[in-house]
Amino acid sequence: MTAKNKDDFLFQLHHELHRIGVDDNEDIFADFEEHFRASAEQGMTEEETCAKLGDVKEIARSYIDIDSTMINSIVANAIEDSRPHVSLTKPGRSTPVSVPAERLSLPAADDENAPIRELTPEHIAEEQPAPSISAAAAEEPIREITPEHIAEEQPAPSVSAEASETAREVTPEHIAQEKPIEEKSEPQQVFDAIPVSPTHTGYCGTSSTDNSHKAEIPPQQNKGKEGFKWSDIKGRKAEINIGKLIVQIVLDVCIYSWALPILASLIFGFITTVVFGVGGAALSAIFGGFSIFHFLSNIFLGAGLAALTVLLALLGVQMVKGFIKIIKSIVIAHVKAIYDL
Amino acid sequence: MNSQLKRGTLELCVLSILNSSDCYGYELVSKISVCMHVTEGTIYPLMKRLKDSDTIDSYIVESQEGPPRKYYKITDTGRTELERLSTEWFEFVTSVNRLLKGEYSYDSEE
Repeated sequence: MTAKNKDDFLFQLHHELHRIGVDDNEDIFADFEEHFRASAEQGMTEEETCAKLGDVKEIARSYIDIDSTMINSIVANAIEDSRPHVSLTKPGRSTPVSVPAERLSLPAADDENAPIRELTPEHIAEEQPAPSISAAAAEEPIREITPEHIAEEQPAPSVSAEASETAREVTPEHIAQEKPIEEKSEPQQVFDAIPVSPTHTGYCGTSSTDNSHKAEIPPQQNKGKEGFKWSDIKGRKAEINIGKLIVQIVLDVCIYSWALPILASLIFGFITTVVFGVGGAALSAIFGGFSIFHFLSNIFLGAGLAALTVLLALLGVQMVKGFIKIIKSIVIAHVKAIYDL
Repeated sequence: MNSQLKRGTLELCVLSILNSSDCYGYELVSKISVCMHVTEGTIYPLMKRLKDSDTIDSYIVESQEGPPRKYYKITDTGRTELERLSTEWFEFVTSVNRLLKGEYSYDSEE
């Protein structure tokens, strides 16, 4: 579509550039403002200039068409276009925030726009497997998940275009929340290998209760805090180097669980014990004659040790509990990242 | 005309025009639209791309009437690129011409 006048043109261009994720810098606008000025000097109206400038979308798109200018890249482009397009609703991939829903709902009529998304720098960057980043990304939204989000998601029954209407909020959890709905309507998707879980049947059974609002909510909600079931990934193949994954998980565990500080404090404690032990032995060798002190000190030592043991035991239990929880969440975050849940 | 072929040719045209003289945006757009029907707006993205790849450069010229103008000029890299592209272009055009005229036969090629 062409613009009506200069302001309209600049506004539309700004909007389009933003939509397709191009940083609209001042230079771009300066160029067109100059163009309008120069054409006005030639006696052209803004409307005529706009008509000659052409489709704003095409112009905006040209700013991201990185390699299409070479004659010999025509073939390369043909190959590029024939590749499967990045799904807009694929979890873990950022969707442009301001994508209007009506544009997404017309994929067939406007499929020219689809390959362009692949060319934006963010998408290219995201094609690279980056386990640690995706793990962090998968972990972060956990805090964000609230009942409202779930409620917002549920009116969108498996239509991917509609799902990305709330593009800003598409997180692994949200997708996970949606999955059972998709599973019902489109069983030929990735879930065909997964049998309907007992929880699912239970959920279907409770759907006849008075709370129809709640009944729509998939079972993950009460399944686990992280919205994850091992059965979700059953039968799916992940493209991952297992060695790298293990190293990554171990690294994450060390960093997130403060294993290193714990190790450091253990070493420090050991050194302290040795120093004090040797010092104490030396002292008792020197003052060995005062047996009354010896006796009293034994009592205090015993009491102190008992108290310390209780404290350490309590602390240890809490620490182990926390430790296990952290490891579990890290592993789950990784698995979710791998399977794009 | 195939839009991608046109875009590829456009780069060649821009470099060729700038090789003969420096131009400001509107001037360049006008020169191009004389010889081929283009979406004029897409020339600016192309200029930006060419500038990013150091084949052209821009400089600002103050003018008496109105605000300053941005002029484009070709760089040394651009000249090399122009040479490469025009060679490629002539080869391409020649072989397509031969094909269209039926002069191209696969078995008699040396």
